[in-house]
Amino acid sequence: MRLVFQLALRNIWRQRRRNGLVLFAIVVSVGGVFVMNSLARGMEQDFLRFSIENFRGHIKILAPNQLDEPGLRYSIPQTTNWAALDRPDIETWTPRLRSPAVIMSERETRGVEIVGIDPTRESHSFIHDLVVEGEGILDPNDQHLLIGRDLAEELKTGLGRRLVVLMNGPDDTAIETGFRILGIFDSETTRYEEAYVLTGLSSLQTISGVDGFTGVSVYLKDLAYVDEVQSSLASQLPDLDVATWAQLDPFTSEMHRFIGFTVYILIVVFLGTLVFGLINALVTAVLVRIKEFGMLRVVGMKSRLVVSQVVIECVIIMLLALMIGLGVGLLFVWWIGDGIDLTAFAAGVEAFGMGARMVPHLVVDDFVILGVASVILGLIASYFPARRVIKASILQSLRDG
Amino acid sequence: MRHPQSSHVQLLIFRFVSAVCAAGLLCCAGISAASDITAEELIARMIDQSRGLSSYSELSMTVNRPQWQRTSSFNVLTRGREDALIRFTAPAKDAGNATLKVGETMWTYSPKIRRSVRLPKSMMSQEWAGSDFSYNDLARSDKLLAYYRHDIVDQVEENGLITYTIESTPKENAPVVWGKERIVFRSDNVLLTQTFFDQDMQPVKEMRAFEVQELGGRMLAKRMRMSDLEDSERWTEVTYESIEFDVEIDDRNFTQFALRGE
Repeated sequence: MRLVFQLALRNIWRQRRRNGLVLFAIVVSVGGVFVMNSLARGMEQDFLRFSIENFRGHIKILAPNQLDEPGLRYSIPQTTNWAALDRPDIETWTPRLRSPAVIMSERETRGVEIVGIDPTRESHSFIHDLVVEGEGILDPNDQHLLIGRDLAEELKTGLGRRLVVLMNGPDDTAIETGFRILGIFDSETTRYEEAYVLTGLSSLQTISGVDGFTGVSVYLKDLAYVDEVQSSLASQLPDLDVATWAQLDPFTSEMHRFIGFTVYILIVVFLGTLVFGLINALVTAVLVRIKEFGMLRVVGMKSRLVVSQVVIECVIIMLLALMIGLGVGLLFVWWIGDGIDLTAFAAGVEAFGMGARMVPHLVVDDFVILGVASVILGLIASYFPARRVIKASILQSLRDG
Repeated sequence: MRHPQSSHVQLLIFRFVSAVCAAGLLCCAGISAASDITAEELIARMIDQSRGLSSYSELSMTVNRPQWQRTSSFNVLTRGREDALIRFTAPAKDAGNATLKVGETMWTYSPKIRRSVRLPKSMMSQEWAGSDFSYNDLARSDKLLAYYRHDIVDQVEENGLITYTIESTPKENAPVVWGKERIVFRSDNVLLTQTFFDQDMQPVKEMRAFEVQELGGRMLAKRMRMSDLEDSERWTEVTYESIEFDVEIDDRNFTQFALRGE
């Protein structure tokens, strides 16, 4: 067996150019799959992150009917007992008061959502990495507004100006309030900048006369706990709606699943093409060596060993290419580690639920699958050409080769 | 050529008419203004003038835009300043469209769909595409008292009438987008101009009265024009074809039956 291995190595080296080309092809394929895969996974992460940090959380507890009629009419009382949320798998939770609102400046009117936040508890929503010009919402009692840069531009307004916010109160009467803008934020995506205006939770409660929240976002330590925590909370809080992010955002949830699936399709397609290329190369390689194999058999090498010699040659090339390929891919991913800037297509990719940056994300499982599948395919791809060698009789091999 | 949605047009007209009617109705009893009167008192008197009055008027309205101009006709029934019924008579396309306001609530009716729709509050406060009016123009007077500080910045006496110029500045946290408003009116309560300033104190839009004359037994402006001061081609003008005050109006006119023309 050692002899076979040595022979295989020597044969590889003997046919440097041909084997080099095969190696190169595999390196490119593996590297390509690696990069594509990490970008697709990055997209998947992006979808998930945007969905969760967008005031949703992994699990959301809502006042009943809030989903049918968002606004101040249905709320969770301030006095609700939240003991159910005291669990080890829950990272943190945040109550908010949100209402659809019409916001007016001297020149423009826009539909937005006004959100009363407790800034000390917003460590897991997009709030915590906002870049704020002026004064952010630092206290639940803050009475000023923090609005997005895009909205400020649309409303043709600026820091220190007053805006009028109109919303429907809990008893369906209109609540009209003047707010001063003390902060303007820039966020990762203009969606937040256009959609939300922020103020202090307590202050919005006072203005609206709602002694409570419209919803509570729950952030888990790991996405995997979602269903378990959801069913547990739902049974402990029977008067409230408890929904997972996937139930609240079916589009993103489906996209998330779809990308996860696409990753495997990608691997199958790449490996499929690779395998046919490989078989093609190996068939040629084996055919030109028929005489050589015939000779080996003449001097007494068993057919089984001849086959394994070819297979070992192939697997060595495959493993080598796999390592180089993964290395190249890793280098490339490291090089684009900060993400590919898609700002030029920002509007398009945002509509699609992604950020303006395509950041690669590595999932170890995918590469284990890629590696194992490549080696198995290498085995299969080399076995059949090798079998052709031993199918022919020794004499024929010697004569035809 | 694109026109604003008919309900939008109706609302915009309604605002204008309300504002104009309010201003018009104010003229009933001239104030024998003493020179030491405060701005607040002047504004309060203007508002009180129109309580409990009814009117029937026929108007035409022209909306001007850079690309098009459009004229329509309608009539208005009012009861006090709170309630009104507006019905379009021309052009044929819009005839029958009606808007009813009772207190704070508004409905619109379109004969094409044979439905009356209650307008949500948020829609009532929107600035309509193609409109020069806002809800604030309609609710002007009440808001003026509750949310503004008033100062008389100028008063000129001419032909026995005093023309006051009042600058109204919104209080902090008032639900008002303007930096200030400048209101010019005569002591017989004819509103001459009302200018809206942004928070940089630049004028944004202005309502101006033309052809002040006696109509239906009262002094009022026959024509009023709301102009966008930042775009001279955007304005809306309403003209009284006829107006009668203190007419007998059945309360039935301010119901949804009446809105539907039943």
